[in-house]
Amino acid sequence: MNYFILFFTFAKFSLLSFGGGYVVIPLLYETFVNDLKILSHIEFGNLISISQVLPGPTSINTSTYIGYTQNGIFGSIVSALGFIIPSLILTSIAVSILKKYEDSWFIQGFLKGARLCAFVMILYSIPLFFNMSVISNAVSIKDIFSMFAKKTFILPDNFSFNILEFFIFILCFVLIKKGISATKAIILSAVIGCGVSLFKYYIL
Amino acid sequence: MYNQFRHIGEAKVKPSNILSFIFISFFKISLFVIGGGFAMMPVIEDVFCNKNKLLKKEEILDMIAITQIIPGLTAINAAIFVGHKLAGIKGSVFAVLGVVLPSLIIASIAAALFSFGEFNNPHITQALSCVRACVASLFCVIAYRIGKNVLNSAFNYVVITLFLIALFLGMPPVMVPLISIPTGIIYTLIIKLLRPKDIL
Repeated sequence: MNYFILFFTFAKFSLLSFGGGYVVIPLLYETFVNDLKILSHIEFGNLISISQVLPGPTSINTSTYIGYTQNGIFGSIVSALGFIIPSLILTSIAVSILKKYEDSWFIQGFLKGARLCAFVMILYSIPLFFNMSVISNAVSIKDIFSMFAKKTFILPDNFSFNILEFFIFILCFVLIKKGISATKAIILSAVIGCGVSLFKYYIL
Repeated sequence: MYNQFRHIGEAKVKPSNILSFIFISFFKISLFVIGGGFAMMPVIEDVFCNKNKLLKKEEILDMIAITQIIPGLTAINAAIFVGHKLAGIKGSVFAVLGVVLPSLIIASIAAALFSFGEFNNPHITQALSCVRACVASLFCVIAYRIGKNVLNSAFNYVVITLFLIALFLGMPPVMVPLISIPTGIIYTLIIKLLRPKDIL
């Protein structure tokens, strides 16, 4: 990808991320997995997961990785700039004028829309990750949605429901809801997964 | 041009080293705080408001409001806000550099060393599969928390349901923010016109 496209792609994400970094995830998937086909379905899942564990904002880690694999170190810098520069401009303006308009109907309406957007985008991300862990098949998220739309529920041959991942899903849901940090939960899942795999390999 | 000596009481920070203080503080926060932008907020309050008295409590509340309204990453917007309040544009640039540099360095090294695609090692593959299940559960928890604030009116239920149906049928997700923001504004405007006493 050339540097301009890289920059403007991430600038576009930055401008659309109403509600924080998690909202960007479906947009990243749409662009890099479906449209540009730079990342595979699984690679995307691994990328988001590892970005959570690495220090710093998740989306910056993700964009740095994508930028680096495209255009080396300058690619990662350009990607990060794509996220940063729109925010620099908008927030600097907002700092001065926000106080005046904070209670205006426009800002309240804006916030309402942003909250709805964040909720819908998070809901959209759930089956995305569910589909590459608890349920594994080669079917993409669009195929699942169109299966629901066309009412044909023929599952592909390599479909499988993974018990271990389902257990991890339930366990992490309970732990994170209780207050365990996401990063600790992720590391715990990795340890359990690796441990079970080693157990199966060496002992069974 | 930047605010001088903004403190009440003691501060180890003087105008001459405010920029390096901003940079180093955000560098440390980005490196050590786990959990993204929202988790950084209390730490920012602790460093800049409680310990060093550079910001007032209400400015912290303004920071939280701004990160919810302005699009962009929470951590980035929070850093820009704090940097701007303390030292103008230079302050926000140094703050952003502090937040982003740990990511840039570490993620670039990770990208150079590994590809995140298929791994040959079955143990790593299984571990990552479990991690993805954990991320799915993380999103469920976040959805639950946002849902408590959002699933409280018939209008919201209808809009969310319509969005989900549209996404099922293949609408690209990029349309969601493009539609939801004007929807929220128009809805609030209509409410204001019908019942002007409720909203300023």
